[in-house]
Amino acid sequence: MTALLSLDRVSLHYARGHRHVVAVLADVSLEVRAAEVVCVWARRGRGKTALLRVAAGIEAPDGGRVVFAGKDLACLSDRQRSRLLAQEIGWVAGAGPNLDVPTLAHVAMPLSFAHGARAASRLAHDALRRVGAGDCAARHWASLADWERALVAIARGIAREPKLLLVDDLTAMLGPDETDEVMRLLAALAHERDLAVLCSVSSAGATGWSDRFATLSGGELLMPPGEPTPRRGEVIGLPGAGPRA
Amino acid sequence: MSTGMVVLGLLAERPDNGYRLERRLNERLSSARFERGAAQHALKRLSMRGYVRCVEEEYRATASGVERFESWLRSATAMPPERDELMARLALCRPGDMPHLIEVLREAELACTARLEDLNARTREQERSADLQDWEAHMSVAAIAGTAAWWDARIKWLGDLRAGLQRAWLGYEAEQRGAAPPRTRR
Repeated sequence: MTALLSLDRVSLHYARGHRHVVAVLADVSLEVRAAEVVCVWARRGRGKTALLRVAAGIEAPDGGRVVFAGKDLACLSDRQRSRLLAQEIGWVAGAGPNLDVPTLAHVAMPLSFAHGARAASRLAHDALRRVGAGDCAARHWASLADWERALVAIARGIAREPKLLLVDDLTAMLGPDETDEVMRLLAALAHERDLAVLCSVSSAGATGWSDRFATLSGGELLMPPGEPTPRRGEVIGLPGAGPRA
Repeated sequence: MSTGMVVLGLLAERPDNGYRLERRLNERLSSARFERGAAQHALKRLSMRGYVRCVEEEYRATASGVERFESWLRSATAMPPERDELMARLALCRPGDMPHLIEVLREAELACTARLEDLNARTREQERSADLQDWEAHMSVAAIAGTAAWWDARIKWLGDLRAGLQRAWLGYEAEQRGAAPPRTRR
């Protein structure tokens, strides 16, 4: 299957004052196909968000190509890229609304322009129910627990039915159970909606439901080659634990 | 960790007597805990294998000793990687070894990542085929989280080591060219 999003030898540098240069991305190549979840896993501050911004076309790389659905993002005008972000690429991050509005309005907000207020509310309700956060609709952001906020953020991301979902370290504040739930939900959404999901995570526990994952450090993206082969019935041992009694 | 290889590396740098070698061993690898007399025991073993010879109470690495040390320095790490062994290699590597060690670290990181990916796939397969009750599901997640955290720590550590070594290598290369070293951070 051809890739929906492809990054080809992408590099990005940030200047820090006059003397320092940070190589955030160095020759990064990555492909994300429809109906799959790809995780990029790194410590905080290692360029995960920058990678997603480049993938979304929000930021132009210093070198390399970013191709989304066959279109080279560098060849698109600002208006075309904005349209892409509004219609085909969903951005999911943990940040809440700037206005103190009920969750339903927060999720519906990006839909209102294209669909009108009533249809936007209905679509937002559907999205909230799909992620299991239907009961959060009337509540305000401040009253939501971290895992509920993660679900609401996903609902907002999928409400416009994008082809690609970019998820920025949504599980950073969550415990193992909630992380597992959120990642499982993303995997389910990817498969049922033919959605490509590129997800940045800061812990290995969040990679459990990804189809593939890569690490990012020193600007370099490392992804093991080939697909893992599941072996049915094998006992999973803790490393170094030795044979079971 | 192989104390013998560390001693051999120290002697490849410069010949030394047993007492000073013991001191250098503990200074260079302060994070590892060597037993008293570790250098002397290692010297005996290395002499028997022809990697080291003693001339007037001063030990020197032989040509085959230097070759053996270099091949150890550039070989693949144990899996999962062992902290002291990797730290010893980093402590003893010379500028010319850096690209090899960067590659060794990259390979180790990829191998760890592949292990974790394999673990994830098997866990998913088991979860899908099993009908777990709430408590069982919670325990399953907790067990996986424990294992994942173990790999998480190692893979992040390997990534940090690699990034650090890459910066050091860039600095060295620039210095050799006579240019100012790149002022990079992280």
